[in-house]
Amino acid sequence: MKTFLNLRINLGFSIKFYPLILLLSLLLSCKKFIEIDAPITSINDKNVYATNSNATAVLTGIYTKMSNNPFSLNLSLYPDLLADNMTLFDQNNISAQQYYQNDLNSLYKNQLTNYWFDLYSYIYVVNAAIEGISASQGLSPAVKQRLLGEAYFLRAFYNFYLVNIYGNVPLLTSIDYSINSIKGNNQVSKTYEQIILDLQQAQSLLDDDYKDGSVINNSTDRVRPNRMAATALLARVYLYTNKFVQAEVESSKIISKSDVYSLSDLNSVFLKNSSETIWSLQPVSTNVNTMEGNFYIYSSDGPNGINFVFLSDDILNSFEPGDLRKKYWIGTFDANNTIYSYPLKYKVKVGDPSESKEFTVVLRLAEQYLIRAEARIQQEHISGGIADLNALRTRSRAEATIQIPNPLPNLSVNLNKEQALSAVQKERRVELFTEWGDRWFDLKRTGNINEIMSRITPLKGGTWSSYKSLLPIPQSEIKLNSNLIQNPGYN
Amino acid sequence: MYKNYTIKPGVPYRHVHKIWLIMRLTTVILIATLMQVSAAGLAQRINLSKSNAPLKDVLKELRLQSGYNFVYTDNLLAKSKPVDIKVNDADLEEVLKEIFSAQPLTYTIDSKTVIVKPKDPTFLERLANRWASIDASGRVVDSENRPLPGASVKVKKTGKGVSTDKDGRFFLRGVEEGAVLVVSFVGYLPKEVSASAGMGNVVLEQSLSKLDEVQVIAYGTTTRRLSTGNVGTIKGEEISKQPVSNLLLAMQGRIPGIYLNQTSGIAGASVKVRVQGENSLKNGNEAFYVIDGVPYAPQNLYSGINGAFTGTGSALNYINPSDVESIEVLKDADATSIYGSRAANGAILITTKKGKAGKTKIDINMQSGWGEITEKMKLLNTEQYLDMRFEAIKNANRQPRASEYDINGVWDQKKYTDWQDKLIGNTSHYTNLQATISGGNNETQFFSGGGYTKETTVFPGDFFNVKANANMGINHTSADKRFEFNISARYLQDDNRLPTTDLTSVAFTIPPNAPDMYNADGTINWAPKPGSPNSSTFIYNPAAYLLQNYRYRVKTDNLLNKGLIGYTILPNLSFKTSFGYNRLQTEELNTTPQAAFPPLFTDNRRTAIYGNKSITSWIFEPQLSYDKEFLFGEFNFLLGSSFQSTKSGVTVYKGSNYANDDQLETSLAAGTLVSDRNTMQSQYRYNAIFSRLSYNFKSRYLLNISARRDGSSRFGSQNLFHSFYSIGAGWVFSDESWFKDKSSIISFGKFRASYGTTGNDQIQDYQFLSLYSLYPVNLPYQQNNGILPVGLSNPFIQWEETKKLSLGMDMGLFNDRILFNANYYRNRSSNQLLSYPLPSLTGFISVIRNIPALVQNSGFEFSIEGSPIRRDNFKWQVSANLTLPKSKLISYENLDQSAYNDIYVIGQSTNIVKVYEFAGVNQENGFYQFKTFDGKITSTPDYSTDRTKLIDLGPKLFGGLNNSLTYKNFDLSFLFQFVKQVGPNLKFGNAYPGIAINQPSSILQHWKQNGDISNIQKVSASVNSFNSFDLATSSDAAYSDASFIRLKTFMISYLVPINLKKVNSTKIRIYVQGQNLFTITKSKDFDPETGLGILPPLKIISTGFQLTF
Repeated sequence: MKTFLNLRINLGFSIKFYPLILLLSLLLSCKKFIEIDAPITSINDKNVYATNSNATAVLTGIYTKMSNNPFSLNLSLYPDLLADNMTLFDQNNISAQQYYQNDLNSLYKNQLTNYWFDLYSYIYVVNAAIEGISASQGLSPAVKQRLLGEAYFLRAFYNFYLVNIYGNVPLLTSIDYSINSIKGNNQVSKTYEQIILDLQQAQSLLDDDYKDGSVINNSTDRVRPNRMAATALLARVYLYTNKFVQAEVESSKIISKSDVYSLSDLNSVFLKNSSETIWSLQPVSTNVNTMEGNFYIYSSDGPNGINFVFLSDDILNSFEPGDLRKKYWIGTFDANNTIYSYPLKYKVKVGDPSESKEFTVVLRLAEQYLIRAEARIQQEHISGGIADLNALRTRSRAEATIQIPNPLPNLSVNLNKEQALSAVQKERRVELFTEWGDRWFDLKRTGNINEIMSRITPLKGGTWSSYKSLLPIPQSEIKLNSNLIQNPGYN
Repeated sequence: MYKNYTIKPGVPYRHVHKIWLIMRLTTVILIATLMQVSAAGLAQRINLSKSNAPLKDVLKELRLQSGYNFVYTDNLLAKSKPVDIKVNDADLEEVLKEIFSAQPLTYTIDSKTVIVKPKDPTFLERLANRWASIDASGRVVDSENRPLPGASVKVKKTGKGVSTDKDGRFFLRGVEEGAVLVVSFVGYLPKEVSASAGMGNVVLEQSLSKLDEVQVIAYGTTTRRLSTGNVGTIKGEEISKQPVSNLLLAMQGRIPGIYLNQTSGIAGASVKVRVQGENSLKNGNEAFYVIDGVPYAPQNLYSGINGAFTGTGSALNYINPSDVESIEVLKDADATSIYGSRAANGAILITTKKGKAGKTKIDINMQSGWGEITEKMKLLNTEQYLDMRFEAIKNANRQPRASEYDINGVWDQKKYTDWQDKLIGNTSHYTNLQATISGGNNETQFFSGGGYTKETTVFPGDFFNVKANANMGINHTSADKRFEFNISARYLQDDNRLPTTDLTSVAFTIPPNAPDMYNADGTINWAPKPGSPNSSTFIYNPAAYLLQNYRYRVKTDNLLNKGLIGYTILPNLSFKTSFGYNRLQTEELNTTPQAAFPPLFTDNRRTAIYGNKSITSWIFEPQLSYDKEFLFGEFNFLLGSSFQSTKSGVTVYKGSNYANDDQLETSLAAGTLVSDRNTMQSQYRYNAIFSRLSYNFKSRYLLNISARRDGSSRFGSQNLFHSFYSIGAGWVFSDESWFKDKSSIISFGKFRASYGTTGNDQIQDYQFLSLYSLYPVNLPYQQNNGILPVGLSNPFIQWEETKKLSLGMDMGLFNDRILFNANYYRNRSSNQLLSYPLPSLTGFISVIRNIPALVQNSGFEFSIEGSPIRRDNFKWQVSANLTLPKSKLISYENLDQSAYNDIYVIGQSTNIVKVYEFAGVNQENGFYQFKTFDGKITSTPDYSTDRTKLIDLGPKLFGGLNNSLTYKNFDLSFLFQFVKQVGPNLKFGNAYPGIAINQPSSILQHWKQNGDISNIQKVSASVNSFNSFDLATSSDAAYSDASFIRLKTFMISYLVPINLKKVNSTKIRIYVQGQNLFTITKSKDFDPETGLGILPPLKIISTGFQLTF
């Protein structure tokens, strides 16, 4: 009887438990549900490269940031302050004084600029873009090709500055921070190899057209790099690495494209989309055109704590009589009979909010003439080189006057190689001053730096040592990455 | 046939009982054997003469005479009959036989031990018992004759019992007629009745003991008596005594372990709530809020528009305080770990009012009040101010500059304005109207209400915050009580037109001889220089701040829907599912008209910012619960799962280039409209399985085990899941028989202990991904906005984990008239999510990572409540609570290399600041001096080595004291809140004494000349003096006692005696309430709660009237 009762109870329960078992399985089956998809509502590394517009916006973001941050100004100002082009006005500006007196140390206390951080943060974005765009399935082929081309170009561009400012630096081609955070220095030559590879890639991926914000339609604005921008930088890189044959080949590609690129009037060189522009950055602020114009041009009271530099006598004296570049590209300010000269390549200090007149020029045709001139002379093709220099001198030549009957004459094709090379250097200085660190890099590249700086630095109140041609790697970086080796001479 | 009887209900229970008894006996025997080895070896002859003596006494005597040990329990002997015996020189066995022949007990002898045990009934006795048993039936109801389904009816003797059905009916088979039945139900006093066949209604009286009040916990309810967790409660009636717009403020000073801080005296300001300290070093320390079972985000989204003034604002502002029935604060792991990854900082459960069966009830409450600042800061008057200024520029060796209008003669040097009066001295108004209607029958109840609240500010101008709310809810239970359904909707609209600039700091700093704010014609007075009408000497005219934000407004709509469907599948098994939906939608507008700029700005500066925010979330939680009373106790098993999704979005546009000020309201009129970087979209999804097993044996031994497995979309793909668990136990020692008999004072006593884990997921969404955000500029590059990555991804990031240990004791004294509660907690949080420094080579300077830094929050919580006087006419209730918190950073790997090295010290509180040791003012030069780490005196201490003093800014002690007195129709209650803490002071003045800002009058004691001894340096408008001031404000002297005692709430009410025969349930109550009436503190210059330069909590006095019928 006991068993019978128990049986009945069990039976009753088992019937009633059916819905319960169903419910239980409903509760437990949510285990599968737990696996949550990656969110799609924000822009993240999973979805940013999935659409043409987002992927394009990343590259646009880089240009915007380059234009919005004082990136070009920092590369215009401090290398020239380190070299012999610029004089510090405000002696209380201890931070700027470190650059001016060639007295930088690795602590970068109160630093005014941090090329290291700026360049590596751009490189991160570019590497992320290359990784993401390459793997993306959602982009149209034309957009994918264009963006990859722009990204490879940019990576080469940033690495070029890293290697020229710091020497042996880590070469990064991925975004994995666990790898990058312990990366040691690479040889300069290794970085240059990568730069050349990247630029060749960029050349093959990009075309000659300038594109608008969609990177599909053509644009008259020369604000996105094209194949010629890659070519121009490659020409420069070949020159810096003494590959003169290739340098001449690359620069000739641009110079020969005279329907697009031609030397313009001196006062038009830095106007937006000038015929000389190969690549420029569009201003992104409504009341400032270029950072350079805004910084170098004095307000009504002349040089002060904000506009704290003026051009050195050394560069002013480098201009030959009748050189219009001195007239048009240099402004003067008379403060109680002391004349201060300042760069006036960009002429707008405070801009018209509606329309920008001037764009920051990154690469321009005149440099290609200078590259080819030097490359030709190095290959003993002196007359060809001199012809290129004379092309620039012709443009800058003033009308003859009684005081200056022979303004900026053409150079003789009979110069020997050494004279011709020194003429190139002088021409580069007066043409490219306060542009992208050119003077400082030229001093290093030509091996003249110790000779010139040991004369100049004492005049600025500092002392020169050859190790100072490279900037110190920030100490904080070395503290966090023990594989990183400081440049010799710094601690 | 014999066997048949053994399955008779109740008998198995006795088997268990026997096993239990044997176990106990074995223990007793073991102890007895060990202790009494020296019992007499020789059998003694017995002489005994007793008449009508208790068996116990007789056995005692026998033990003495025989040397045998006797083993029995008091329970057992309770059944014995008195003994009559007279023997001489008898054998022990004979005596025993005689004594036990008439007893319902028998005995066995085991060596020298006599074990007393119940006599097995004979077959006949059993048969007789069988015939004597009856089937008892009846119905359990409350005092209003409403059935109490689920009440327990038990035979006292056997423990056998049943539960009442949906109608409160019970049917108990085979009970001895006249046997004592114990009828009990949660929240009611248990009742003993004698069993009979038709018992009719058994009426249970509601328990008045607070121990039996229903306490809401995660996914269920309990009572203080049976809870194993640390839970604090505040009831709706206490909330309604306070004119607060944020219901969180109603908890201030009332619950131990929870620290509340009002961030500003302005309506809508957020409230900082910390349950048992701050567990997370850098991430959210907000409690987990649950409204009627639906999780609720306590903070609104950040759009950058309302800025520093109210932060993001408290989203709890969008809950109407008068809708709230109770707030429960769950503190320890036992109460919170079933919420898993979200409740490391405690959980706050808000339960809203529901309809009750009975006559339809209408309640109307109208209230109106006035608020103002409690105290003004003592500032310099014009003469003192100008003296200071002239002395300062003299010390700086210069003449008044052209721009120093206050002293160069441009401003009237005789003019004096009390700017505190002008800017924060107005009276704010508070109006609150609420009406509710509720009622229903046993099956269906409804609740509906609406209200309107308006608060204005103490600032000049028409600023206000208006809230309108409406709600309704229906509960339905099917006639057979198996099906349950309820649904409710709450809606609140908040229209906030408060300024974005707190004028308090302006009022403290503006020079007393500054010009008037407005010209005679009502336009802003820019105070042009004589002869130069377009100039302005009063650029920082506060009227401009007011105008800049004049058209600032935030409109918020909050919709909160909640529903529940439940079905009882089997008598012990029920399934229910709750679902909730919440949408918080906010529209913001902030305009800056051209008129806010002085005339010298001729360019078009008018701007407007448009924001649109929304949080939409839903939750779905199916649950299965199984309750069963077994022979060895009551079990409750809960199994559930949770699905939650939250979508948040912020859209912000900044407009400029408007043609005129009127166009600012609409973004269409903007010449330029740029998307702001605060624009974002995010989604959060959450899923969990949870279960809880509660075990209760005789309401005496309580055990609670819960576990949860959580998955959250906030965490990296490598660490999506985590499990949390807790175990809690309670022992009601006062119910033990050995205790019950001994103590008449202690009516209730319980020890509690719990341990478990909880998590903190209060980090931003998608931290595991490398996010890209808009890089907005004024002139987009090629008319396209760029996007850039904003951080590195870490797919390993995971929950911060808090391990909580809690030990507690609850006691009721004098029949629970005094309830005392003490608790110790120790919460240890590890796995802290912090930014980990990386070389900038990686593109960023840090990555978010879980770091095994260990933070400990521990402390003691005490609360006591009682009613010293409980007469018919006069009642006095008092309650007090006290919390002694302590925080400590126990470990932090490589702290000295991290960016937090400046902030934290291992072994110290996480609330410390590192400061210099102040060493007075140098008597010769009048500058501040400090002690270096090696004891030298210097004016230029070293930041990295000389900050030797640590100041702990966390509260040392806090609590409240609440009194409530009722005399006839009068009701008086008041609450004191107290906090012991250290805070910053204004000893050294508002920034840089000597520059053109006003100073507290304490600055008058400054150093003036060589030899002066003072603690305040010379006034000087020089950089050296500024640097010296900055150092002094980073010294220990810049911090002092900021403890306070505040009369937080005061209320007196009167129930109007009315004698209307027809409507005898009508009640009219009139009342006066006060909030923040006075504060006792050493912090003279500003309110110790809100701090420096922030509008203090206002003193609000309101009167009201409540009508119920």
